Amino acid sequence: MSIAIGSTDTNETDGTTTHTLTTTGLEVGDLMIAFIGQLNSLTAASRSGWTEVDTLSDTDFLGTNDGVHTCLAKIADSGDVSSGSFDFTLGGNQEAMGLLFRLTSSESGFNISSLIVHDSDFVAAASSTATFSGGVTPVAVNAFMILAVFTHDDSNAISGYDIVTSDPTWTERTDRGYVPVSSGFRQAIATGVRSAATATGNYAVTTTQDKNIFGILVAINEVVDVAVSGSVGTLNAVGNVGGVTAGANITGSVGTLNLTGNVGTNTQEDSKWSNTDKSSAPSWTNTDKT
Amino acid sequence: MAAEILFVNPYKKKLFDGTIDLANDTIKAMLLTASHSTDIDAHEFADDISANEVSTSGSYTAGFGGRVSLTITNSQDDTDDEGVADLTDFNITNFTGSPAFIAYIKEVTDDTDSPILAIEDLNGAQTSTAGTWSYTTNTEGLFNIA
Repeated sequence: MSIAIGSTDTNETDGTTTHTLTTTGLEVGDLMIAFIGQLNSLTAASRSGWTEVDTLSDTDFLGTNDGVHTCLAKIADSGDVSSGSFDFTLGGNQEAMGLLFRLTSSESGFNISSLIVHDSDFVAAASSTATFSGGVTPVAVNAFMILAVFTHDDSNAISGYDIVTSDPTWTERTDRGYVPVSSGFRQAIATGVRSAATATGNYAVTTTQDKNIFGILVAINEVVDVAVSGSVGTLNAVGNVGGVTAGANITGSVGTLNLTGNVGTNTQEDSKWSNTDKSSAPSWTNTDKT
Repeated sequence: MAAEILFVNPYKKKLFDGTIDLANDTIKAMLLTASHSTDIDAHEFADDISANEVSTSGSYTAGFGGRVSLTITNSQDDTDDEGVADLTDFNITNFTGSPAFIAYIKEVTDDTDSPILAIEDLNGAQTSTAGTWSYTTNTEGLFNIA
């Protein structure tokens, strides 16, 4: 996952009511985030359809002159893509400096209300280090951090971008002065990717002059969708065969009972025959009837 | 470790008790962080694991009465000779969190009497940031009895 800068535009204006910033290569869903500082105004820069992320003003920004530092953001739609140019309304005919980033997401885009956290502070007569109190806690790891300052005096060069806890590696995107009036003013902005999602604590920059300075710290996370493919849980239903003591699973033999008809034994005596009349033609008699 | 679903032993007993009706009871998905470690012997009710439930975010509300209500349909698979409990896919929208496990539970009156059926290990934290956290059920369904 990563957020990248697609384009950067800066502008300086004097004595106009609008401040124009542009993008290149803008696509629907990109995040546009602008930082605009104004001299002699306490009214935040604005534009219809854009969200005011943060703004801070002070009546003694440049001597006794007012100043205001504002961050605005919008997720690009088709109309924005067609235009690519954006006029921001200032607090009047003011002197102003602005920067507009076009940010891209490698994930599922941006959500201004839930994924941008921010803090701002004003330090009067900052010496070599301007330390801004507060800080932010990013919504998630790998937040895209922007530290933007708007300071009195165009020669107050800025460096040493820093946050107290888990300081990322900063890349300076602009550090330029503008002198529409005496002594002028300066805008400096750096970005970095912070791996930790813990509170940053205070944030700071190194200055070259002891001047009043506005600071805005922004942490941006992108929308990350997750698609989980489920597993299947299998329960094995087991029927355990019972144990049988003595004679388990015996296939019985066939017991055959043979019925036998035994023939009886017949015992018989010889007959006693006699010729009782002694005739030559005897008539034989069985005398015992056997 | 590959993603897997572990049935807790108390649920296996409840199968025989007939006290859980997947199609008609209030079955829910309870998302757990990577701090969770499944104990199939000891994890019986939702309060045994609720300490590691993810925080409320987007359309997910942590705690009893919240979570994700599931739709489960039971069927018979004669090809694989299985009983199948199929789960309708679900989404959690605008969700920021890192679920690493899903506990499938039956909600009753509170977490102390809401039995756990099984716990799915998602093979590490699946982190969503203000996005849609979507779950697609396996083509074989959620649970099979073979």
